[in-house]
Amino acid sequence: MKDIVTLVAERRETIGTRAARRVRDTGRVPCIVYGHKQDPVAITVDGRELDAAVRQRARMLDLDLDGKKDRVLVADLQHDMFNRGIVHADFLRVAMDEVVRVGVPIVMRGKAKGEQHGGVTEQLMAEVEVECLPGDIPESVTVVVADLDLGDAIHVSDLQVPAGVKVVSPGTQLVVTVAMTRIAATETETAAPDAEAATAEPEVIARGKAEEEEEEETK
Amino acid sequence: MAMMPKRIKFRKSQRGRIRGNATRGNFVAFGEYGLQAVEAGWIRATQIEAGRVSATHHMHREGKLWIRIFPHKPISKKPLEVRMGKGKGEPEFYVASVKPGQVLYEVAGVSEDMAKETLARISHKMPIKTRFVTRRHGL
Repeated sequence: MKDIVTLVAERRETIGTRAARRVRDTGRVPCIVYGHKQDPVAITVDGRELDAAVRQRARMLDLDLDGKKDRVLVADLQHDMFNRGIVHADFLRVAMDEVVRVGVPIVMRGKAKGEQHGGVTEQLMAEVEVECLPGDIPESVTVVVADLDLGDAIHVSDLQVPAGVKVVSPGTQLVVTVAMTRIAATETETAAPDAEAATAEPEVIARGKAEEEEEEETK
Repeated sequence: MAMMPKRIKFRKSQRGRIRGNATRGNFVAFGEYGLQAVEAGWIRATQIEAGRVSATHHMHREGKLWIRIFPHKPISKKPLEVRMGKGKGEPEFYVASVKPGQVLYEVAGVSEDMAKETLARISHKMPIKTRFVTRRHGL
């Protein structure tokens, strides 16, 4: 198991969009801690420290709040859409002997056999939900796709997870499939458009028209 | 053929303002790589189609392409040499109203270099500034 990073947290008295924005301007990230049937606490942590911990793919952290250390799981992160850092974080209080339910990313390895026959490997599921002890959370679940031919698929039930980890997502869900590329479809799309279709106008939903006619009649 | 709505409630729409950033459709959700709008603007149906054609051509029909925007907004225009007044012009074309952060296209099933080249070609067809983005795995 990796070393657990300790972040120094400060209590946050103000909540809401504007207050959170002001917190971010100071280089800190607004966060929330919840779980273990205790009241949720609004806190802030240093943006750089949190970013560094996330880059190391740390799922467990120690939060030092008012001199008291809490072991937490990073339950959710909100990122800025222009990659300007983390906007908000959710921390879930955990005990090391308590089973937790988390999402683990699925990583594809290899090149599918079906790609040589004009197929394309599609990963339909980015994350699988698992149940395990906090210390056993895998960094990712690897799926080897090298043996997949055209039309073959890997389902959640086929995933190989380490001992002590139980998959919670339904076993019938598709994870990876090798589908035929849409050659036939694009050929029909790129064909010359018929004149009628090119000048076609969308159908106006009749409700408005009918009402107008009724109004005219009443006048 | 350029995209347009099948059914609409009103034939003509007002211009409107594009304010704020995209709060939906602002991350790569289907493919591995994407093209994200950095500016706000209208993207014409013909420009969306031009991007699609250039992408499928460059990818030699390998991989998969997703178009994440749709031209819902009708834009009307008065004919040439017509005096002002006499009502609003007729709808000429359709546009997608795009806010900064919106992911316009996504690709998968190709290498990162290929995806970069493909999305760069699409970006040349776009009337707004865009950037290359990759999917975020995990948290």
